[in-house]
This record gives sequence, C-alpha cells and structure tokens, in this order.
Amino acid sequence: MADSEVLVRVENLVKHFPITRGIIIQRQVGAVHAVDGLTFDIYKGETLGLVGESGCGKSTTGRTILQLYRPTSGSVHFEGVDLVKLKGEDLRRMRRRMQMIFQDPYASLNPRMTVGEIIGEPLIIHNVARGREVQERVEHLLELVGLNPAYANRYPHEFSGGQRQRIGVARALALQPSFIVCDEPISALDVSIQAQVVNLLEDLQQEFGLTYLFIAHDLSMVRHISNRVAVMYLGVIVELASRDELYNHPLHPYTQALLSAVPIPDPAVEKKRKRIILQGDVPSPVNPPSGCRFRTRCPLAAEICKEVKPEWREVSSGHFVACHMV
Amino acid sequence: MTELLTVEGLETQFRTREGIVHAVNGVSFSLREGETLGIVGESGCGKSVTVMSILRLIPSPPGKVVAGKAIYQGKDLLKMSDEEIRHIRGAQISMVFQDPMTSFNPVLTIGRQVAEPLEIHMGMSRKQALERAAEMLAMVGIPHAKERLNDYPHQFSGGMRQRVMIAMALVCTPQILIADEPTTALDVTIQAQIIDLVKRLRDELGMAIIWITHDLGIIAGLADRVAVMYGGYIIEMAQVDELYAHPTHPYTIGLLGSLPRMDETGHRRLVSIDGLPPVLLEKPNYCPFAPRCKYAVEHCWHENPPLMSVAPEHQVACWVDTQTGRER
Repeated sequence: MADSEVLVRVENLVKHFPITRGIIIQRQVGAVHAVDGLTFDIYKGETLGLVGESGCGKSTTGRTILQLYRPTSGSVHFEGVDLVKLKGEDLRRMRRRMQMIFQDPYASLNPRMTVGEIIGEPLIIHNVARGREVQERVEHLLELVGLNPAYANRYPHEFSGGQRQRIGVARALALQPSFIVCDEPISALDVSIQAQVVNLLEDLQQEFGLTYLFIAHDLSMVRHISNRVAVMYLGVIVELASRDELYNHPLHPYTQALLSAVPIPDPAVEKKRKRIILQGDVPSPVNPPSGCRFRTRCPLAAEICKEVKPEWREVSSGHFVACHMV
Repeated sequence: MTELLTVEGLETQFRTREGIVHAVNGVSFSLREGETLGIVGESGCGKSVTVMSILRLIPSPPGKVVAGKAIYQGKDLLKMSDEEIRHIRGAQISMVFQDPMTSFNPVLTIGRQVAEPLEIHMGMSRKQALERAAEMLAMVGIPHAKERLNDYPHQFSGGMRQRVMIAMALVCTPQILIADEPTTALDVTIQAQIIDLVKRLRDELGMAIIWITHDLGIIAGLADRVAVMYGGYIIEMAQVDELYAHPTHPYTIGLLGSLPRMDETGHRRLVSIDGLPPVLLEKPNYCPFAPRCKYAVEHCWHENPPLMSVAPEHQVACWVDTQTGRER
C-alpha cells in the first residue's frame, strides 16, 4: 500500500460545533469538539475502515471530508485539490467525484419521489444526462445493484430495508464517483441482509475501482471489508494500521479493549477469551479530558497522559498510534 | 435439572389493517433451573412477542394469544387473572427491555422506580425499600448509589441506565430474568460491561435467564442452550456448543455463514441468504424458510416440518438432511 496513489489527504482536520445561549442575541458559550485534529490518507482503490463508538466523531469526519459540514480548520485534498478552499460551482463540480451512502435507508430517501426520480436526480442536477437517457441510466443502475429495472416507477415505502439501501447505493453510483463515504450502510439491516449489501459493495468496488471510507461500529464487518482501519475515540484517531496488523497487533489500549469486547460467534473461542472491561463511560466532547483523551478510562494511564497530548507517530511501517505507553 | 417454565404451542396474532399477522405460530420450549436460554432471530421473527406473550404484556387489542400454555410452578400464566400475574411479574419473573432510554418513567426518581417492586411485592416500607434499592444499585456497579437514588433517569448514561434497569428487575430476586435485546442500543465496550455484570449476578443469585438477541456472538459466550426462530417458529434448538459446531437448519447455517468473524484471517465472500424474511399475513402450510432455501425439495412446499430430534438435545425443523442433501 505504501507506494499507492493518495486519493484523499486529510490534514489537521478540526470540526467544532458551537453551543450557543440566548434567543435573539446568541453568544457562543462552548463547542462540541466533534473532530479534533485528524491527519490521514486514503489511497486509491482501497477501503479505509473508520471505527469507534457512538459520538466519537466518525460520521462527522465523513461528512466534513465531503464538505457537507465545512471544517473549522484543516485541509482535505481530493485528487490534489483542497476542497476546503472551494466554493459554489467549483465545489459542486467536485461533488460528482465523491458521494455518500447513508445509515438509515428509511430517512435518506424522499418518500414523495419515485425510485427513478431519486436515482436520476443527480444526473439532472449535474447536467450529465437528460430525457430518455436518464431513464436508461436509471434502469442500468437498478440492474447493477440487483434490483428489477421495472421498479423505477415505485416509491421507497414499497421496498424493504435492504432493497432501500440498494437504491441508496444506486443513487451514489449515478455520477460515477471515484470516492464513496459509506456511513454505517448496514447497521440498520438484519444480519442475513447485511451480507447481501456488503457483497454488493465489494463487487462494485472491483468493477469500478471505487475507493471507500467505510464508517462502522461493527468491528467484525470492518475487518471483513477494509484494507486499512482507523480507530477513533472522542474526536481523535488513536490508531491506524493495515487490517491484519491492527487486529493481530493492536497497540493502543483503547483498540485492545475495543477488540476484546467484540463477541465472536463461536462458544469454543468465547470460553477461552479474556475481556478487557473498560471502566466508566466516554467523557463529554464538550469538555474533553486534557492530554490524552482516553486517559480517564485507560488501564495504563500515568501522570504524563494528563499533561501532554500524545504524539501521532508511525511506530512501524504504516502503523500509526497516539499513546505515551507504546 | 428441573424445569422452571414450560411453554407449549404458543400462538400469538395481531389484528392489523392489512389482515391478521401471525407473529408466533406454535412455539414450545422449556427453561430449566439456573440455565441461560438464548433466543436468536432477525427482526420480526417473533422472539420478543414470544416472551411478551408469556408475561401477558401483549397489548390487546390488537394482539391476542390465541393458543398455548406457559406453565410456571404448576400454573398456566396465560390463564391467570390479572391480579395473579401481577404478583408474578417483577417478583418471580422479571424483564429487562431493549431501550434503556424509554423504559423508565422520566418524572420519577431512580430510587422510587427501583424500590417500587419491593413495596408492591415484598410489602416493605418506603424507607426499607430505598435502602435495599441502594444496595442493589451498588451491586450492579452504580458508583455512589445512595446519593444517586434521588437522580432522574436522564441524569444517567445509556450504560448506567441499563444497569439501573437490571437492578430494578433483580431487586426482588426473581427466579427468571427475561432480557429482550438489553445491549443492542449500547456500544461494544459498554455491552461487554453489561454482559460481564449479568454473568456475575447469575452466578451470585442463581436465576435462570432467557436472553433474546439477534447477535449470535453474544449468545455464543453467554447461553447454555439456544433456540433459533424464523417466521414465528422455533426452527432449531440445541446446546450452545452443538449448535455452533453442527448447525443443521439451512437458516442457521446461512446465518452463521453470513457473519464475518473478527478472528478470521484472509478474505472469504460472505454467504448471503437471498430473498427477504416472510410477511406473516398468513400462516403458511409449507416451510416458512422454503422460499429462501437452497436445499428446498418438493416436500417443503407441502408440509411445514415439525421440530425433529437429530442428536441428543438437538432438534431441527427441516425435511432435508443438510449434510447429505437427502430427505429425512
């Protein structure tokens, strides 16, 4: 992976959401530190898994990369262009190249539009097709995601969760993007349906050379689908490595605890496993702990963790970690 | 081992605008003293409705338990008066729900809610009950339990609320705890805390547990026996080791194959089960899994298979021997 081409380069990405008080005169009284200084690359053709617990900022990261949220500071270079500096028409033109698949297949499709209109809309907005051609493209896309092309005239409520997610995938593919942010695309689906959608995503990646940022909290699925995996905790990435390296040799104590907490569907294995049970809950991102963010729950925490923010460093080729104890 | 609870031929239906939904279609199982029974299945398979029916918590109308028995201590829970079942619920059989955010009364303090079963079932005074509630909260790992009695549910995090709910369920030391997806809304590290807690309490208090989940991983480390449900039926039932080592029903095989495993190396394509779960608007006279089954033979479309024994303590509802591909 080391000599692969970088598609997305994220540097010192920060996104704070202001907390305001007052109705007419609003003044900022604080900020939710949703994403607090991320630096990483996404290589062309790979799947980068982004895992973490709810509220750790993984969805915000995905949305900020696509400029659906404008970052507080930092830069996002996509194919060499800094998206943060783009505005208006220039940014819109870039959007064709990067798309998103959303978590909730029930909320992310407009119930008043037919499936054909939903999938065809990006083609019309971006002026890449019109009239009869839109219809043909829509039918082709439906076929591609394993749905009957005749469904184009139906409405979203006529479909099951898994089928809706396929519609969401077809919409994301309509403009032939090179980069797709998959924001928990399967967590709302049943187990037997999850596998269908994951297999579809893998097939499409092979066929079109897509690059995925795969956001999820299901560590088993992330291991299955990713080439490299980044672990987030409270707005920062604590560890990033190739898939097997991360799962076989996790270095950060949070990664270790997270991996040990995932149940494995095999009683023989489960009996032998030792769990690292973390104490307490994730602190509030409004007022995150000083120094290392994980120190309040970390079994190894020492005095230095309170005072100094751990440096993000490469401990072995391609394996990054931010911890004083490693 | 003695059987604590025996459920036989349970059938529950819901009247809806589209017609009658056959949610549970003749479910039978027993729960033994001190054991943990896992009920696994996907959404809509009838796993929650099964236990809600046993505890008579099905809203009626639209729901109705139309057939079956649930024998507990020689008495049929389904035939008891409302007064009698109230003495059982929360005292001898209690339940923990999935969503720790909506299962509490937001305007009562945690202390009141955890103490309430003691006042009702044990006839304790408010003061005594609150003392016992504080002990119970400490037992489930709530720090400063005594001071937190006066807090309201919104002042607790999701994981802490689930701990409080477990305390509330166990405060009268019931014989049976029914847990309906109690960790589904929680993050993995918090889920590990809760499962660890339940295992510890099970060993200390010796209650039997029915644990409902869609997560085959949790069940592997927790249950003694497992029942797999599909379309309102139990389609396979076995000891936990046996089920994972020799899954026999095509649905169980498919379900285990569709799960990626965190400990696996290399890359394999996930086995997906094609098609969709059944719509339960009619009670099929064929195998409910037949439309999605790659083993299905002619017989499967004519008769719904009953649970048949294939090994000691291992039953499966399938006309085809999935190992040989031949009909049973």
